Amino acid sequence: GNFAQLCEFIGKSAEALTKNASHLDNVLATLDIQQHSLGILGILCVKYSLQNIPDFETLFVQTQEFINECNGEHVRYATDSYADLCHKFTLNLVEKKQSMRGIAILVKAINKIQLFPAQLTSIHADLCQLCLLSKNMKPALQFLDEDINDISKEGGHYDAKDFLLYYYYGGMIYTALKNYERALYMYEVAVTTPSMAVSHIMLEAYKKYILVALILQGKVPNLPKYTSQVVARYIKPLCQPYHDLASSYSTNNPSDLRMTVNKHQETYNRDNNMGLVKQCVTSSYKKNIQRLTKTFLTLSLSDMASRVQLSGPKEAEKYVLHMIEDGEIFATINQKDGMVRFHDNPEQYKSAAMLLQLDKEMQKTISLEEKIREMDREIAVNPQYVQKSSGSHDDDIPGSSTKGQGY
Amino acid sequence: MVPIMEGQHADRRSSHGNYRDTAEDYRDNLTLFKWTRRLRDLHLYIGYAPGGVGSPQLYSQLLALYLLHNETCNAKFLWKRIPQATKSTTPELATIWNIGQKLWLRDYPGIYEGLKKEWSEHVKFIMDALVDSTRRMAAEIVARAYSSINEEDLAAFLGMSASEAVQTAVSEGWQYDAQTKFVTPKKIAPPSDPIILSEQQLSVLTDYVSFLEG
Repeated sequence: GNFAQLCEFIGKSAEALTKNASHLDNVLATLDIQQHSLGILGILCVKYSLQNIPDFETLFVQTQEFINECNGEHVRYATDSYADLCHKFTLNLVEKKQSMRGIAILVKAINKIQLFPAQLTSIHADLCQLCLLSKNMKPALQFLDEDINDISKEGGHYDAKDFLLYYYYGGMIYTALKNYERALYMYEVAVTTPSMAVSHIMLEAYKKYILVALILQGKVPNLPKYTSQVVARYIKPLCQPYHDLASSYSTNNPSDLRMTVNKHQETYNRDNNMGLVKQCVTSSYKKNIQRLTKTFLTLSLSDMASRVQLSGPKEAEKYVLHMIEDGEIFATINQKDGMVRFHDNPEQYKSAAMLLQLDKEMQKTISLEEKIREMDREIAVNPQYVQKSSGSHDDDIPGSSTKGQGY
Repeated sequence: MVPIMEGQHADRRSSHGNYRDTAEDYRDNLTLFKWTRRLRDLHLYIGYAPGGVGSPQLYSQLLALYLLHNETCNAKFLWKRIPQATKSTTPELATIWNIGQKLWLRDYPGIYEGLKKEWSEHVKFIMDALVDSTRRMAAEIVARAYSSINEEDLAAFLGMSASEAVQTAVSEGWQYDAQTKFVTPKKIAPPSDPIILSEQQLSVLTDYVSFLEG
């Protein structure tokens, strides 16, 4: 059949369906999920857009059945309605505080509609939201761990909000699971999204970016050059408490840091970032201990405690022990003498295990390069691009990488 | 793999024994591999059950398994999302989580103290394994971090009395000085390298060269 026409027809019939809302259940009963997926999709969308949803339970079960059994080939013609269905579904669940129930269904939904695992859909953001609300993070990880290199257009309905939310929520999930490296990456993507207007999501992502950077690296790295002007002009001034925290962190003075934390306590609590701020304070002690390894070969525990402003040698011992456990420092504690001996990183980078690791990273880079070449080729044959480039430079070869940047 | 079952049939399933949660099965299959699979099954099952509520047994097992695998973050979130009703009717959940809290804070004496309880059938073997694995983990950390440690602290790490701790240490080849009461742990040998076939290596290198020149 001609699915594109069918989609259009269903879209136009939405009004008629809304008028006959009470008969919709009967209509659903007559349709077969596999053969008439598009029809059922249309009806379900209309049901969700009604002012008062009379019986959510039935609607839930109908949605669940639909997503589990619909024909993937068919619904790919109506990606926007499909995504819309998932959004409204999520909204209802969140309102009714039943986020947990939607997770499995959305996982299925994403798997059905994705053309390949590296494709981002607007449903990803919904899934992350449900996971965060129900405190069940694992199901989102299978999607978060994949590197994205394509976005599903969803009939032009894919919104910047879905993109930003996915990376913001994703960052929060990784932060909760203490995978700070990955969290930092997600926040960075959210903050460096090209934009002309200020987005609240970007603002919140920026605040968490600062905090996670402090925990992970001890300093806030400069944002990449391609960050939009909006960030520097409008977002940074709104985050003064966080910049203050970063500057007192860099003084390496724990009492200074505590003072800043107390000063801006209200702001941090209001933004729900107090937990992260406290982790920053702990990490500052760790960073101070790490700095000692640059100056000393051996150090007594009591000396360390006074330099880092800990309560005593026992606390210093605990800190060092935990850091050794987590691989944040290479040292041995000699309790007999009450001394700590610092070592160099024992990794010689000449083992076979390291070689295998290098190999894995190289393979990832090679496949990424392939993907970029493909994207470059696609742009090179894009008629708009050829027009623009041949208009200004007649002799130049289209598709060279410098041109790509200008476009 | 045991099929995931959603819905009202949940409790019937586990009582049918299809789910294998009798003590007998655990006694025979005490390998970590089996438990890892079990962990995966359980977490999927609870995560996806409609109404989002699993049976208290399932929750206690899942919580205990998370602790055994040292996944304290996941254990914390599981604890947060277990419904209050289940928590109040199943006090064992709170005792298991108490150990989780001590594991988070790395408070070894607290961990062993918390483990000295009477456990019900379905979690007993997980908890026993947890005692063993905690001891092993503690011993590894002590060997990695300390060049000398006094016997009292060692005893706290291993959850034994000082003399038992010293005995265990000596049997592992560690040295003990009875006068100063200090133990010198033996350094653990680094894990052996995986073997790479030379043809495989050669083909990988050819790939790199063609990539860099292409």
